[in-house]
Amino acid sequence: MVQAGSKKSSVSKINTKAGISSLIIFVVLLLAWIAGFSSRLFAVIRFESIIHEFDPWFNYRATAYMVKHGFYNFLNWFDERAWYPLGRIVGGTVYPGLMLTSGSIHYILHLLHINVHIRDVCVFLAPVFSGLTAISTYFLTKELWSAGAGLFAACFIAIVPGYISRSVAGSYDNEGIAIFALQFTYFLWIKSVKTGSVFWAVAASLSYFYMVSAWGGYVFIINLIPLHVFVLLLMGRYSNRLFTSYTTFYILGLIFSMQIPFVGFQPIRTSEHMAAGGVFALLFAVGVLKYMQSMMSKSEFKSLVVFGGLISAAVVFLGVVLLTYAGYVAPWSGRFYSLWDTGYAKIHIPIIASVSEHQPTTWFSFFFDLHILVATFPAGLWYTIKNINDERVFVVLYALSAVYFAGVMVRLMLTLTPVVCILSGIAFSGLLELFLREDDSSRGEDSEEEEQSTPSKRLYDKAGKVPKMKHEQSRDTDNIGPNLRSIVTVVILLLLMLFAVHCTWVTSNAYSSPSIVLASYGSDGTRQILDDFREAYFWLSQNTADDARIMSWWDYGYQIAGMANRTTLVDNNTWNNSHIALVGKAMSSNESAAYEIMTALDVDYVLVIFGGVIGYSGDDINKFLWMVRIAEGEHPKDIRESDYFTEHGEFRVDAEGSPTLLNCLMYKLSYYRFGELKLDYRSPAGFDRTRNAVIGHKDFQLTYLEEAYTTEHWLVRVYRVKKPDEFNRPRIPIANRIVKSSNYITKKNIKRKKGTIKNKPLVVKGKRLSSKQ
Amino acid sequence: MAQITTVLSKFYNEYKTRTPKRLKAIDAYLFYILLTGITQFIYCLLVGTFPFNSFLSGFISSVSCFVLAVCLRLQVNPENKTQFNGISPERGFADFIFAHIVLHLVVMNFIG
Amino acid sequence: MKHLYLLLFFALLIVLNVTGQQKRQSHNMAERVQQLTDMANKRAVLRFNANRFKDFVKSTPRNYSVVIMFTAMAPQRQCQVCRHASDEFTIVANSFRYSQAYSNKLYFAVVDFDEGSDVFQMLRLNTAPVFIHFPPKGKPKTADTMDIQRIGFAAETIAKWIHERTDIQIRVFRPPNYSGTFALIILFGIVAAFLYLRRNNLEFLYNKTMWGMGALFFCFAMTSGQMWNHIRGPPFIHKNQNGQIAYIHGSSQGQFVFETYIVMFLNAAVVLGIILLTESARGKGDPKRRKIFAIVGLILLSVFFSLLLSVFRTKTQGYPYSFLFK
Repeated sequence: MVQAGSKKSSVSKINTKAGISSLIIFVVLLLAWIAGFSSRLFAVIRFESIIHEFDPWFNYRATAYMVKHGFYNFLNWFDERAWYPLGRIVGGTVYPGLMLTSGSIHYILHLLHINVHIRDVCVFLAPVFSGLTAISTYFLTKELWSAGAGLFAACFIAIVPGYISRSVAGSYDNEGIAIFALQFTYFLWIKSVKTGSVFWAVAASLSYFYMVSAWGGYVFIINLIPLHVFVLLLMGRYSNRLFTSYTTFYILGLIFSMQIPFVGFQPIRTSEHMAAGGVFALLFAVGVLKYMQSMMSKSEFKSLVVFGGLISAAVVFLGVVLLTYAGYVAPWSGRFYSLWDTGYAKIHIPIIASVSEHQPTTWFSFFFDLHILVATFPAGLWYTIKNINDERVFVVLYALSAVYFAGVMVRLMLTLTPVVCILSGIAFSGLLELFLREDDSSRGEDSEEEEQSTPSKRLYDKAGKVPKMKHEQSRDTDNIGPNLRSIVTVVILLLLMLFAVHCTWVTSNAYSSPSIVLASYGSDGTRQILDDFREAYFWLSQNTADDARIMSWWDYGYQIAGMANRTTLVDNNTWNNSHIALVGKAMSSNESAAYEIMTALDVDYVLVIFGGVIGYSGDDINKFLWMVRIAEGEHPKDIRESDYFTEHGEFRVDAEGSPTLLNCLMYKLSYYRFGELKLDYRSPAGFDRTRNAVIGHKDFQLTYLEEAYTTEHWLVRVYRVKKPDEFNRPRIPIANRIVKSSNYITKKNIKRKKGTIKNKPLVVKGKRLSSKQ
Repeated sequence: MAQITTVLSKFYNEYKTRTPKRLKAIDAYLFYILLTGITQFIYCLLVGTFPFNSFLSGFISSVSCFVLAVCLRLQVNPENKTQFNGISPERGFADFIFAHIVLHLVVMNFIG
Repeated sequence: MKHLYLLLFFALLIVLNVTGQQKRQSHNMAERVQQLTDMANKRAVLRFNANRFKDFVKSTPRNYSVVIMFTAMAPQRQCQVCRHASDEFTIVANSFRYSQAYSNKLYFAVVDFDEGSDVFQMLRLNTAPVFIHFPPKGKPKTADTMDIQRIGFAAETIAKWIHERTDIQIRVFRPPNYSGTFALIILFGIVAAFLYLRRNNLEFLYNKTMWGMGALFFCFAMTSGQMWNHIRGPPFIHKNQNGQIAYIHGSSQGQFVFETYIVMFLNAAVVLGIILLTESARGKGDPKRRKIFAIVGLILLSVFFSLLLSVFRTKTQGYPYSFLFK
């Protein structure tokens, strides 16, 4: 795209130097924005303007609520439709920046009498913000290195898949705007460090405020900036500019961040934020010492420093230890702790480990998301270290910490992407700057081709930080030879072109499916749209009572609330582990035990996702082990993971699967009536395409539930939980007779006993019900 | 110990003679704010921090007033002219006012 | 059959106990608990021989659980696993011993084959190590034998298993791995000594090349997925049944250690290529050398990047692009 930009500008032959360079900058940034925006539209064009995935559905629902009821009602919103019977205080448990942003865009557009639906604002928010991200990346890189590198970085970030993955149209999530806020905060911070101006520091803290309101990743900023300051202090690069910018930024950022209800008093209570405070105090101490040093002679100063230094160090250390010990300062929270001790989450917090985004990153994902940038950014890092100064220390630290975090968690690839773009921009601009410039000086000022490189040369010159080199170059005669030089240029351009096509390919193939509408491709290349999710949710919204409570695994909670507008038990905001474990226990127990849990939780419908018919791998049976694990974490007596494996430790759904698995609720709900289904002529009846096996337990009946609805491709299956008076009593033995395991003999006895006694209370219940009605 | 007292007294003399008047005015302001902060801290130790956000906003506002005044002092100080090129004392003061406006808007919101 | 024998044995024991000695035994119980507690205070893991095993475990009534590790620690038995198991077991026992939950409801003991082979015969054990929990009432069930084949014997899993069996929650407190700390301290010591020795010449700290190398190495390590290796522990290379060796994992979800080294090398070569190119164009030094630099850099950049791309291509289904190599 840079090529495109410079070509376009070469057409316009304005001769004023400043004019042409700013025109180029403008055009390139505009093109970057447009390219970034349009490559994020694959999903909208292929499917429709729709919200994707899971979390965005909640964000969308909250935004719609805010637009309808106003901001203050939104902050006080108690959502009784989630986490039944607990409910959720939404206003206090959400980062409101995203909703506010789209809400205010919607408001402004309506003021201008442009009547767009709030859904469209939400769908297109992330692509629009990606353009803003590109611009702020340009400014950041320009402050760090040069305008040319900035343009490269802006173009990279506009199309790099690592960022597109979170910002395609319809992926209405916090990260989409947060990366912009992140880059902009860093830009303002660098600016304030460079000038020492209070104004820029205030601006940085305002931008930080926006970031805090948008994403929990703000913790990264509030640790990275103090780290920068600390390293600068270690390097002996203290300056008064550093003092003014950091102290202003910190203290304003502190009070700003406490304005967000979800963050609350965390900035002064938790260990994640303590480093910033510590550096603040340290900087003050250093500032005072420097001041005194300016007033005194060296020997006097030395005695004072030794005395004061010892005392203050002891005081600070004791203070922190005491506060942590007394419980004023909370230790690191699990999510952050798992970043350091990489084995921690796996053992202690299965719910974090269960999310695929929290897995470590393979080299494949690095290359997939960053392509050539992953191989070139170390070169940029190298040159940054070689020509270090105050603000470049920052980008080095940024790169090193981000690359570590990205290695630990796939999800944090998102924070690595901007810095990789910056550093690769530096590497590429360094290369092309030299190769194109010499080209220019060697050939003289007449050829047509030369015109093309002139603007970029001037552009680089203008903000180039290495003026010495330039003079040397112009004096030096050209040694490499024009042929070699043009070959190098062509190769680099080829590589960049490969990068561009790779980005487009990845975006279109991997990151542009809305995941609630699936597409499958036939052998002749025709596309078939599978709209089962929305079919099921629509059915729920039309055919169930308004207050019906629907049990599903937590992944689908937001979608049910957003699309079907029904009460859910658990959802993607996984704040209450024991509640989730209860649902997991219900799913993994046998039918009667599950029925007890379901009646205790007033469940009316159960929704399961089943991919066996179409071969959809993200279904509930594949997630099932996590349900078991999470349930086991809370109820180790009733659920044991080992029961769900075969003797050889395999997880199998066919006839050799463990009897516990073949009789648990999730299995039954997924495979109910599936044994009768013959998918095609070659495969036997009841052949599960996802797991490539014939299911082990075919003809069974459900006692406590009945099938309410199954979508076209069986992807979503909804079951109604029967009321106690609806049981078809004699069926129990039939359902149980299938089980041959010896373990079940005792249970059978118990149930028989129960059956004989149960006749009486049943009648009583029925009467009570009838008398009520 | 004696060495330290002599050092401190010498420091005091240096300060009295070498510091310009304008900076001394800022120093007086700083001292006043320091006192306010200390008073608030003692109050919280004695009485408690019950409306925690009110206490915090009061305390943080005094800390940030202090910080901002120190920044102003650094920028105004003619000795630091080389470090802050492009920032005249007037610009520094304007920034100071701007930061205070932002700060007090937030504090007002937070004090509840 | 095994169960039947055990059952018979227990029945016999119970009958024996009931007839005649019941009074003495129950009186004995307090004494036994006292004895056990005394022993446990000295050592977290008790050593049982056949007699003690009979006294403390086989005798009823009991009001305490005993978790016993059956092992063979003698050097001539050459049981490597037993050593690991014993370490883990001791960690659990010690964590219990020094935790708040410490009570006289649970004891940890070890029976060595060479000291109590009778016990091994009695329980029909012919492998080691085996972890068996003896509940206060009744005989051990199948679930009371820990399934180390499947879940392993890490201290955490032992604690979890104990929690399942006895309801006593033990938070495993591993004594900090002193070897790591020790190495770190030595490293720091060496660095400090080095700095001290060269205190007059600390220039090398400002050596940007060194720092740059370090940073670059860190980046290469991370982007080649060493952290994944650290957490998941994949095999170095894969050998299939035919004896063919696969260096590269077939799917995009996994990787081998050797594969990550290859990727690291390829990345480093590309970076070297870029740096060489840039340096050659900088315009310093001998023109001929610069020309060679430029050519070498160009080759490094293009060849190794296309190699990287082709490795990537083999792992991605349907990836259409390649450069120089398929």
